[in-house]
Amino acid sequence: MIVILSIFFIIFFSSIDANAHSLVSRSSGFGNGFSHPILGLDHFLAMFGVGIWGAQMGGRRIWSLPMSFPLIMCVGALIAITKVYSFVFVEQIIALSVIVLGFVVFFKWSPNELIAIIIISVFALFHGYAHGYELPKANDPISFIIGFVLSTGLIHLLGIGMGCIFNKFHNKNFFKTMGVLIAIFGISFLFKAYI
Amino acid sequence: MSKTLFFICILILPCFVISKLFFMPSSEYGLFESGMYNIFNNYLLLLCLLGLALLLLNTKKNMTHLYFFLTFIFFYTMTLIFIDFILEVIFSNNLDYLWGFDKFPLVVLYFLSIFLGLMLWFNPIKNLFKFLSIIVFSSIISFHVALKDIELFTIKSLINFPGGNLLITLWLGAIIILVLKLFNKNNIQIISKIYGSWIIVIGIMSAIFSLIY
Repeated sequence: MIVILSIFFIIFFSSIDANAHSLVSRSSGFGNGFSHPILGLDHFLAMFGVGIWGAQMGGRRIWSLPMSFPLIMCVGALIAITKVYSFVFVEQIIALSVIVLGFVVFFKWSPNELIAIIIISVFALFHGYAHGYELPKANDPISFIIGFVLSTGLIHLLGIGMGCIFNKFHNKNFFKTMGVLIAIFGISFLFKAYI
Repeated sequence: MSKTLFFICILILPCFVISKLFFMPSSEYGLFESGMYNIFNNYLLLLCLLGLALLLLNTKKNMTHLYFFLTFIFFYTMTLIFIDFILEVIFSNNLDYLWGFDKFPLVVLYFLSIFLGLMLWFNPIKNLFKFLSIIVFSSIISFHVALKDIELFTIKSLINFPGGNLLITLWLGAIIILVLKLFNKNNIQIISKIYGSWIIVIGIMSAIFSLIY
């Protein structure tokens, strides 16, 4: 029975679509939307940082930060879609968001909830703008939207989960290490954005 | 009670469907199967279903789930029966001009996801709000199904396209609820609030994008 089930699942998960008539585009649909925040390390680290920061502060802020981030990101994406305003220095500010989030995790800064939300909102606006800019080019934009929102949320949850686990064991070194790593990557992104 | 329900959901329903498909000629089950596929094929529907499952999770009595089930069936069937009247209201108020009638089956789902997201944010404990969510959910799903395959609703429809949708919605909903019951209640509350914001964002962005492009 186990062998039959294993064969079934191997075949089920290894099957792929026929590519004979695929439309060639950088962003096709759900898969591209889902992988956009994961494969883009700048987005990944910023969202992971938000999750860890929320878990580190504890209380209501565990869910209020990851809840506000996608909502403000949505505003940024809508600005990009509607083209009502074009942001400048998007890459640089995204890199800056990674640096700032690295430092706040490192120093375990625990501000008022509103201040924390305002800080991440500014960054979320630019992250959303970057996602929204890709949207109209996608072959299936609605699936692209669903993909990137889901993966953004899952990265938050990963950050919250890891933060909560290490908070439970009072492992301060974890937060310091993560903070430093995130900030170093952020600095490298900033250099890349200028070069 | 929950173990029996779990048994029914996991084993009997799929066995019933598979045996039904196996013994019937393809010309008769084609619509039923495409109805089932319609639910699996639609990310938004699946996300809304997960949202509804998160909403219905915290019920104290198991009997309440039965009332949820009956409410769902009632409003699902009623919307299908009165679809002509609903369409007349839509056409007379020119609601179809805003997004275009071809996008209407999806647009209703965007609004459903926004509604369920808001409900998840407030995370109501009272059963009244849960029933309200079920009524809205079943009516909109039914409306979506009717727009995808408009036919005169008879009892035979339940083994055609609408029946396939109904069976899979109930089956998936029950499985999601039973699986989520294994998790810690506090964690589920946090996840509900975060998930609520995701589906609101998806709903708003999809609606505005569809309006522009």
